[in-house]
Amino acid sequence: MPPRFPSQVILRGVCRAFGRTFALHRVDLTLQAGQAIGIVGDNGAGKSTLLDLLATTDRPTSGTIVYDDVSRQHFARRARHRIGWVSHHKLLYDELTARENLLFFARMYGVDNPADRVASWLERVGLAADADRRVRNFSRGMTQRLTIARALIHNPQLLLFDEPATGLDQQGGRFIVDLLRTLRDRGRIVILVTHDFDLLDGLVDRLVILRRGQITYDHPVEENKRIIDVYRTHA
Amino acid sequence: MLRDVPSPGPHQPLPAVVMNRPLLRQTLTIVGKDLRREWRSREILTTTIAFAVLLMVIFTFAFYHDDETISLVFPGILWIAIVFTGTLAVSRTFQHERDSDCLRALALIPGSQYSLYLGKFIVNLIFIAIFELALIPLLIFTFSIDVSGTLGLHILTVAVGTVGFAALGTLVSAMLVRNDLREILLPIVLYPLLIPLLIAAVQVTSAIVDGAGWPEVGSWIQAMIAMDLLYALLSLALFRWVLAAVE
Repeated sequence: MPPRFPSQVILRGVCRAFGRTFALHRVDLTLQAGQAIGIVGDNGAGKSTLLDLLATTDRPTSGTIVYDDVSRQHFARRARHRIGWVSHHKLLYDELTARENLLFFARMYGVDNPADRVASWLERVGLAADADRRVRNFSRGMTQRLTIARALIHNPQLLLFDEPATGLDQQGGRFIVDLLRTLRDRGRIVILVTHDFDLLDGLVDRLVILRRGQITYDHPVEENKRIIDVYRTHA
Repeated sequence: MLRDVPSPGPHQPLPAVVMNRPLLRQTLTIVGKDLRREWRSREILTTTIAFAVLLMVIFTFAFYHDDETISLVFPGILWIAIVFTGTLAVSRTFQHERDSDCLRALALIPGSQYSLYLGKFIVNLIFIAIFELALIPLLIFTFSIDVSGTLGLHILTVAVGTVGFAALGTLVSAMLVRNDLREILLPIVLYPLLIPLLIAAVQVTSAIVDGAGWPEVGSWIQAMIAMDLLYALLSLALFRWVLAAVE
């Protein structure tokens, strides 16, 4: 499996229905390596459903999702470790320390030299001094930094970030932008779902607006144009 | 034409992340994490040991009349206490995965559909063994059971019964982890499936208390081992689907 796999994710006519309600309806989207894509929309627009589908933890009702030329089913079975996911939930164990949480996931993924990798990530997310404190005692912002380290500890290629700046202060927000920009420049596919338009400015190359499960806007971000203005025009 | 994820040839080595993922390492990592967590919270062991002792006291007062009835009531009390208390233990081992929603994170890790089951199975075995170590000597002392010469058979019977219970209990507990009525549903789903094993366990324990040896109970114990294997293999095979449904 090439280290850059998948370099492209293609969604064609993807629908996801819950009963008679469509959370997503005929979504066509192509995601490329080295791109940071911002996905915005009102509550219930289908943003989280889209991330669930990309993470293969949910199945489309109809339509296809292809990772390079690998089907969703095969990707789900054999290549899910290529995904790094920051969801609404922290996906961390409260009773364990920050270091123990990262070590647990690093060992589960079979990361080489897990202790060194964990120490490096703790340093990177600014938690080295709190590495041996239990997550239960962390502030929201510290937990979010650890969540991001947990999602990236295994060096994934497809990065799904759902409101990654939740609970972070200004410095934390800048850290996220710098981190995601670096990852994008290293050829990762970065998908960012957020309501924080300041976070998107200067980071995403492309903006996708979802409205009631349908894509109403999908264009590269123009220089000198604020994303909030684009959103107000097209949402 | 869609292709399968390719197996790497000699000229295309897999990243280290994919190469080093033996089942044993993942299983031991899960066991270590759960034991560390339990050591800090003491959530499962304190409640199960207290519950087991309480059950024993209630059953002793309810069923014990005289020495003549010991062999009749002891096996039932022993296995009811193990099953009821064990249910409490197995219901909790997946609970903290649900509370932290870490099942989703674990589901993204290759191989976790097997290592998660095996890890939780081993953790359940350890928790049940610990409360049995507290419960069974108390029961033997309270009922003045003579275990001289039959201790090995008693230990073997309890061990074989416990393995079967933990194998099936781990699967059913995972199945119900997202269900709001899981505490009620767990015994309703689990106990009927355990009936063959429990009947055998009670029969064997009763026979041993009455002085039977391996020649008399050997075939029963072999049947229990066969049931353990069946439960464990079925559970391991089904766990992947269960995880996919609850992740």
